[in-house]
Amino acid sequence: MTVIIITYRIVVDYFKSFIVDIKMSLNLDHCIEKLQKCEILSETTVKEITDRMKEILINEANVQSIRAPVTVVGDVHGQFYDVLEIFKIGGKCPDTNYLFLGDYVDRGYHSVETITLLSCLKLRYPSRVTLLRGNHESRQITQVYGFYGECMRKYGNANVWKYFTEMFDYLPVAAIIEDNIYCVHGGLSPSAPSIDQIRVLDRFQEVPHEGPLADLMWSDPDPDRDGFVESQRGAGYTFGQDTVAKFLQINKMHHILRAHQMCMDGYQVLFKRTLSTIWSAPNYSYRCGNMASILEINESSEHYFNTYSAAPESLHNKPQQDTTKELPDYFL
Amino acid sequence: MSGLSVCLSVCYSDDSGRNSDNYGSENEGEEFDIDDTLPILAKIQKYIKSDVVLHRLYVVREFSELLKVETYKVLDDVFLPIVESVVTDQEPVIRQALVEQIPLIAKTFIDIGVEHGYSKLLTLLLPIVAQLTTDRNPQVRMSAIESLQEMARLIKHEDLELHLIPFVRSLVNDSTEEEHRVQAANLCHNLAPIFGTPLTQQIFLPFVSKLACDPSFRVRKAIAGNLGNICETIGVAATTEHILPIFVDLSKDEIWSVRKGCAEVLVSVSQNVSPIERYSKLIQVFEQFVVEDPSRWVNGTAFQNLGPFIATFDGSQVTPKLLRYFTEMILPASIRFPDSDLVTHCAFNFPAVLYTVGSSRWSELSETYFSLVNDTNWKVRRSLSHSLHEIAKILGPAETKRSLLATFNLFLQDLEEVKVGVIRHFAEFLESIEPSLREEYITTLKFILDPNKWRFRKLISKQLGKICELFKLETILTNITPILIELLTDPVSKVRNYAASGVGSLITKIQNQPTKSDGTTVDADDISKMSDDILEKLKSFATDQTYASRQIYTRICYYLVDQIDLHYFEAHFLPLLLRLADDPVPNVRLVTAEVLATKIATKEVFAKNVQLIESLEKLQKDKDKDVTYFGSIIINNNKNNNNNNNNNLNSNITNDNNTTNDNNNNNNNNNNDNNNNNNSSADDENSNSNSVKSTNDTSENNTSVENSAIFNFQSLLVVILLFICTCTYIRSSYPKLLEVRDRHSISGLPWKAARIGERLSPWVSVACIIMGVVLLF
Repeated sequence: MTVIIITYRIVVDYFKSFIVDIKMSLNLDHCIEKLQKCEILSETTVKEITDRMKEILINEANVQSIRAPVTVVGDVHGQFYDVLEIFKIGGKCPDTNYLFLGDYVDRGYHSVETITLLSCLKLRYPSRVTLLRGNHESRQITQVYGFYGECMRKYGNANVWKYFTEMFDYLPVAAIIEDNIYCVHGGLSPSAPSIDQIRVLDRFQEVPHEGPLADLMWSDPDPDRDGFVESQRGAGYTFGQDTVAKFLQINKMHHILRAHQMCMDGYQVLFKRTLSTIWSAPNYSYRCGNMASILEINESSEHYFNTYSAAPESLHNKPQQDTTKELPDYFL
Repeated sequence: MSGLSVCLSVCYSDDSGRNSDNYGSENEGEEFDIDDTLPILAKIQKYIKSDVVLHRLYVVREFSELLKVETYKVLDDVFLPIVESVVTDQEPVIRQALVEQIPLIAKTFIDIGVEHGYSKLLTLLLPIVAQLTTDRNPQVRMSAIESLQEMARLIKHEDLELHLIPFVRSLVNDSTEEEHRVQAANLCHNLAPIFGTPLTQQIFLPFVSKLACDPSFRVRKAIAGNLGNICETIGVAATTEHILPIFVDLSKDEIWSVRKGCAEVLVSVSQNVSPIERYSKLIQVFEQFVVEDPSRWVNGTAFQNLGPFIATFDGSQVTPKLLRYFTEMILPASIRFPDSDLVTHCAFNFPAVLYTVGSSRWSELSETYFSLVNDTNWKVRRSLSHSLHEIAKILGPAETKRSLLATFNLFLQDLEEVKVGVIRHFAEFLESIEPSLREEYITTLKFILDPNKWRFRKLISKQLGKICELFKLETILTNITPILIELLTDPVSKVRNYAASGVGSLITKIQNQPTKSDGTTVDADDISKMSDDILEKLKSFATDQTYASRQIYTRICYYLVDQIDLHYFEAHFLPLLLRLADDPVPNVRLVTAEVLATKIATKEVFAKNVQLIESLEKLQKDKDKDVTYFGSIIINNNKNNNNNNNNNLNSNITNDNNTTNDNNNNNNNNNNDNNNNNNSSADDENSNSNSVKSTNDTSENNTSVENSAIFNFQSLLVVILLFICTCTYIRSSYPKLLEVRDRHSISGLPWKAARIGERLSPWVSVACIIMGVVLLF
């Protein structure tokens, strides 16, 4: 009798665990709520989030197609309270669709919270949020500019950094809004003059030092010089008005949207209004004193640069220690 | 890149030297690596005895993770001995980490170990924490006191007396170690609210009396500073009788830090003594602190607490002299130890003092008030700016006009940090001045709405409803509505959303306009025309070409259903809202779905509105997943909370199905209840997302498989068993029914079942009995 009951219990438990495995997953609403209070999630939760993100992202194309209305956001660089400000100004997700152009981490004090929040929003509303890859979404850069150190400080180990940088390899690199606005983090590449060439790149890797993938994330426009010139940044190129005109013509696009460079007014329109830079980190690195903006594109494709300055919380919530001094002693 | 696994920013050691090498030798990085591939228990077992402090710290902090995964038996047999071994760790940082974990361990033991776990809590975990409250390291002691407090909450009331009080008593009576008696005083304070009135009165009061006469001043200081919770727990009668004499004695102590402790708890004691004693004894104590006391710290602390102290009085009891102490504390010439902080305290406490003594004694306070208003420190002015409307309310319209209008205008010109106070309470201040004066401030309002300061615009947006109530309809239509429309089309989403909450009171105002036209017919016509215009303008948001405006229309409706007459709403606003269910932009459909599901469909009045039901059903079948989600939202019901918590844990984003049959049934049954029980918090725009869940009757991915008997193993067994029994019965009565040509085909199943029933009847019946028992419990 007891044997039967015990076997029965075991079998039932086995089946239950089987079902729970399917169903038991994170409560994203809970996570988002917690993150909005600027609290970090546990390491295991982050692992699950990044795993699920990879599942979603692997199905996305290199060049994502997006419908208007959408609000485009430039670099945010771990300035968490300014990211919250974006949702206050642009409207909360999912009421507003968002396209982020990359550079979520490094430099700001809250890279972990920022990227975790954006990942959770992407998971919760996959069709309302698009995340592109920026040059800071890379292992090498994050080791130098703060994300790695922040993960070490907040979790005591590098696992979270490892999970996120693995996830970064899956992020798409470009997007096209309503078939006529090309969006990318940095700019154009001499080795990929057509969008179709970008579509077939193998993007699932660390950002390389050179080649089209690196150029897309590193290049900058140059109003003074035509053609492609090697960039001062050490990667990518600067490109002139002629290259933009040619790119738009070849690909039948009307406009290029990119981020990557700080603008004091939060945005800059160049080349007879064919290229715009959007910058969404106000008072960049907590000292530049610049404005930030998000670009709202409504359903009739009208553009509006909604500018804003730093959130009051952003400076008040500075961590006590200076982040740069808290880097780990060595790195393996 | 296996990575360094442990990094620690703060380490302190009370036997430094011996272990110091292990903190950060940079050459041998490999030693620090923790093998992450090990299961958590193995990891703890491996590293808990490590020589490297960081390893031990790392695994102690992993305890909470272990608690989540291991069974009670493992925790009891393997884990508890580990915990016990850590108590004697050399490193205070480890002991501190441990004691911080113990309440969580205790909670887990009660949750999964029930009775046995609870007994472990009493016999093992509680003594560990108790022991650590007298640790030689102060940080460990502090954490231990906090943990003990948490543990006390977990312990059943009847066990407190047996398990915790003897420990406190032993500390109180420990004559060798003064630190133990200090901790006893801290414990009395921290545990009193948990112990409750009778126990505190019986047990702790004698302790307090004993500790108050302690030869060590540190103990007396600790007990003086810790009287607060005890007074609050034992109530007025007992405080007056027992604590007050002790307090008065301690306030005359020869050591200044003891007296400072008394000054700190003066307010708590004052709140809990009878009015007569408060008047006769405590004023004296206070005067002694500020007039005679030689210590500037005692003096300063007493002055800091003067405002709250006055607030504990009945207004008529406050003597002019006491009030003069309050007004004079900002005058450097009249007090012995001038301190600029006192000005901040005075400004902060001013409203409470004025409220206590009442507007009749404004003359005694006004001079102080105006010198505070003109203080050079902006923090002082900021506090006053925020409380100005309260002062106006206390003083009444006449005096406000005479004294405060100038201040109000002054603050509006002040620094942003100061200005924000009067802007935040703009409407409330206008409310307390005469209506004739209010109109002047409409221009001020326009000036506040600076295009570069969206936070100011947000503050005004929030108050629009209230502002509308303060003016005549004519003024509203000519002056306020342009502001309202402007704010509804503001570039900042938050500002727009808050502005939507103000529409209700505008419409109410229009509806309540007396229709009679006595003489001034032209005006009345004008007004009704303007009213029609503004209503048309509001409705035009629903057909605006930008999606943000159409979203704002749904937002307006979200608030309107709770603000205006529902039949009027149904006739004028609902049809346009329902049209948005077909909007081409999914984001508009999504907010429409949310508003319809959480706000509109929950109203009984609309239960029979066919168009509404159709629209909602359409949204629930929308091709966009997010729209269907919001269309299927149902507002939480309190009694349903447990159920939903389960549900939330198990829901994921792709399909928010319910896990079990039971849940689903419950939800469906409760839908009606939920619908009636909607709360309308008008200014909390996030309220929905927090308190909603989704049912999934219509969602595309809905898999009823999981709800069918096949996936619920228990139900499956029941079905099989009953099938066997039924077939056996049928075969015994009408054998021919089950005879089929091919017994091995599907149609042969009943025959097979019957055969099983016949041949294995004892087993089947046993199984039936078990099943019955299991189902019963």
